[in-house]
Amino acid sequence: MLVIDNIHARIGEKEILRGVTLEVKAGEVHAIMGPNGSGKSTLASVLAGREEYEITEGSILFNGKNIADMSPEDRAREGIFLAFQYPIEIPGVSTINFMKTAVNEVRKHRGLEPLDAPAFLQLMKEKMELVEISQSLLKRSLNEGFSGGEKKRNEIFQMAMLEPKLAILDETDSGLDIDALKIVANGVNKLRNKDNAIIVVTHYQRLLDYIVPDFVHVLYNGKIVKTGTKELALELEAKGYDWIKNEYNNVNA
Amino acid sequence: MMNSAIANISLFDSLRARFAEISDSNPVLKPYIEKNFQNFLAKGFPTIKNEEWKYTDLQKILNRNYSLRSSSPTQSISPKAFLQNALHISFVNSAFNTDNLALSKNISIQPLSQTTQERLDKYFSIHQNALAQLNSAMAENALLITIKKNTHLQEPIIVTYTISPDSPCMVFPRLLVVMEENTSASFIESFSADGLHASLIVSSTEFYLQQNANLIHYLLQLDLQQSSHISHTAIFHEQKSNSSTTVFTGSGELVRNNLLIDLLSQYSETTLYGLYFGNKTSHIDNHTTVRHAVSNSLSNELYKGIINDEASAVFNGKIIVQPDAQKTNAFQSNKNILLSPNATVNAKPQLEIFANDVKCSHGATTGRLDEEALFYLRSRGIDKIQAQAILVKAFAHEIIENVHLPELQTYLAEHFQN
Repeated sequence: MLVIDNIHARIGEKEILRGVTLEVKAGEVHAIMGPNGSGKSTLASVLAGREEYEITEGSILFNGKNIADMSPEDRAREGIFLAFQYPIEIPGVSTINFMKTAVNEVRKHRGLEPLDAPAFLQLMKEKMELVEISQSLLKRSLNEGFSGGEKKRNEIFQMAMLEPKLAILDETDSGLDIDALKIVANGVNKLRNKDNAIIVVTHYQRLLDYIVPDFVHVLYNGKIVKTGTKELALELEAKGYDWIKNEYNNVNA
Repeated sequence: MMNSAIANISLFDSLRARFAEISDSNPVLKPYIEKNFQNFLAKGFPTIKNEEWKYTDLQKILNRNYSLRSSSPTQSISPKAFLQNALHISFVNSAFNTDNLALSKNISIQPLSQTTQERLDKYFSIHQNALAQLNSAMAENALLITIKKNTHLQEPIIVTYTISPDSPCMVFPRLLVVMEENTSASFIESFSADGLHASLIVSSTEFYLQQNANLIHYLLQLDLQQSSHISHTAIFHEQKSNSSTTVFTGSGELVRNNLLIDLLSQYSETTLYGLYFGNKTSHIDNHTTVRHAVSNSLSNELYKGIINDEASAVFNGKIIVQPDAQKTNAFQSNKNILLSPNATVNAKPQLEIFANDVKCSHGATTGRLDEEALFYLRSRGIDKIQAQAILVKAFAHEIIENVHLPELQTYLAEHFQN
C-alpha cells in the first residue's frame, strides 16, 4: 500500500528526515517510536503533505502512485488520513458542516454520488457511536473549547467518516487520561480491517497496549534505526531510548 | 495637480450655486444651514494632510463632474427579500418617498423643514466635520422620524437609499431619528447605486435616544457598484439608553464611514460591530469615535475586515473617556485578514483616557488566513479555494451571528460567502 523509499526531507535549511525507508501493507499496523526530535511528527506531516516540508530525495508510493508532489487534499481523497497531534480550533466552523463538505469531496473523487442530508446524518450517527462523541459537540465550532480527549475523539470520528485506506495517528495518546485513551483506541480498533492500514506515531508504549502493532520501528536522527515487533515497544518502555542512541552513535562513530 | 485644482474650483462654484437655490427655497432652514455651509467653505474638503484623512484621499473622486440636482430615477427599486413586512422609507437620488406608508400614531415622519423651531434648535447641530457640514447644508430633503414615548416596534424600519441618476451625481440624504422615552426600534439603512455612473453619496444619519430608548441599527453598503459613499452616523445617548450598530460594507469605489457614539448620560450601553470586505481596487475606511462623557457607561466594539486583490482598508477607533466618566467599561477590537499580497490595512486604535477608575482594552490584528487551519481542512480532502472560503466565512460569522433579524442574517451570510 505504502512504499517509502529513502525519503529525505527538510524544513528551511534543516534536514530532519535523512533516508527513511518503510513499507506498509494492507491490514497492518505499524508503530513509529523514537525520542523527542527524532523526526516522528515530520514523517507524519510529510506523508499528509504539509507544505513547509521539502522532500529533497527519495519517493513515496501510495497504491502505486507517487504522492510526493500531491496536494494535501488529493492525498486525502486518495485515502490518506492524518489524526493531528494538536487538532486545530476553528471558531465559526462546525465539525458537522465541514465534514459534510469533506465527505462529499472524497466521494466525488471515488466516483460516488454526494450524500444527501438524511444519508449524511445516518452515516454520522453510526460513526458517532463508534467513538462515543455527542452530536452537540459536533455542532459546535470545531474543537473550540474542547477538552484534550474530546479533540482526539473528534479526530477519530473524522477518520471514521472518511474511511481512509491509510490512517496516520500522530501522538494521539498525548494529553489523554487512561479512560479517554481507551475510548480513542477502541474507536481505532473498530475501524481496523484487512483492507486498511494504520501508522501509530507515539513516544510512549502505553497506546500500543490498546492498538497492538504488527511492527514497531524506532526513528532516531531522521532514520529508522531498529525494527521489531510489539516486544520492542515494551523493551523501550523499560529501558528508555539511550541504548538505541548509543548503538546508533557507536556504529556511526 | 493643476487639473484637480480647477475641477475643485468648479465643484465649489456648483456647490455655491446649488446652496443658494436650496437656502432661498427653504427660508425656515436657511439660518441653520447657512452656518454649516460657511464652516464647510472655510476649510473645504479634507485632504490627506488632515490626520483624520491620512489614508483616504478624496481628490480622486472629487476631481470629477457631478450633477448636484436630483434627477428622477432611471430605474425602479425592488426591495430585497428581507424587507417584507417592514416599514419602508425610500430615498431616491436624495428625495424621499413615504407614499403608501401605513403609519401608526406612534411614529411620525415629516420633512425636517416642517418641524418646530424648538426642535430645529435642538437637532440642528453645528457639525465639526466638513462633510457633515456639507451634508447639513445641502440636504434639502432631510427627514425627521419620531418614535413616540412607550412605543416598541416589532418590525424594523427599512430606509433604502437608491442612486439611479441620468448622469453622475452627488447626493446628500439626511435622516434624523428621535426615539422618545422608553421606546425600542430597529433601523436598516441600505445604500445602493445603479452600475451606470460613479456617483458620490454624502449621507448623514443621527439618532437621539432619550431615557430608556433601545436602538438596533444596521448600515448596509453592499450594492454601491462603482459609486462612493461618505457616511456620518451619530448616536446621542441619554440615561439608560442602549444602542447597537453594525455596518456591513462590500461594495463601492471609496467608502468612508464616520461613526460617533456620544454617551452623554449614565448607565448607557453601546455595541459597535463592523464587517467589511474589500476587493479589486476598493477602499474602505471606518472611523469610529466613542465618547464616554459621564460615569457608568459601557462600549464594546468589534470590527472585522477581509481584504483581497489591490483593495485597501482603514480602521481608526477612538475611545474618549472624559474626566467625569469613572467606572467606564470600553472595549475595542479590530481584526483583519489579507487575502492577497497587494491588499493593505491601516489600523489605529486611539485611546484618550482622562479618568482613572476605568476598564479599557483594545487590540488590532492584521494577518493572513491561518496556514495551520488551511492545512487541517485540506488534509480532510477539501481543496484550497474551498478551504479559504470556509475560513473567511467563519471569520465573518462572529459579526453576522449577532444580527437579530433572521432574514437579514441569512441575506448577509449568503452575501459574504461569495
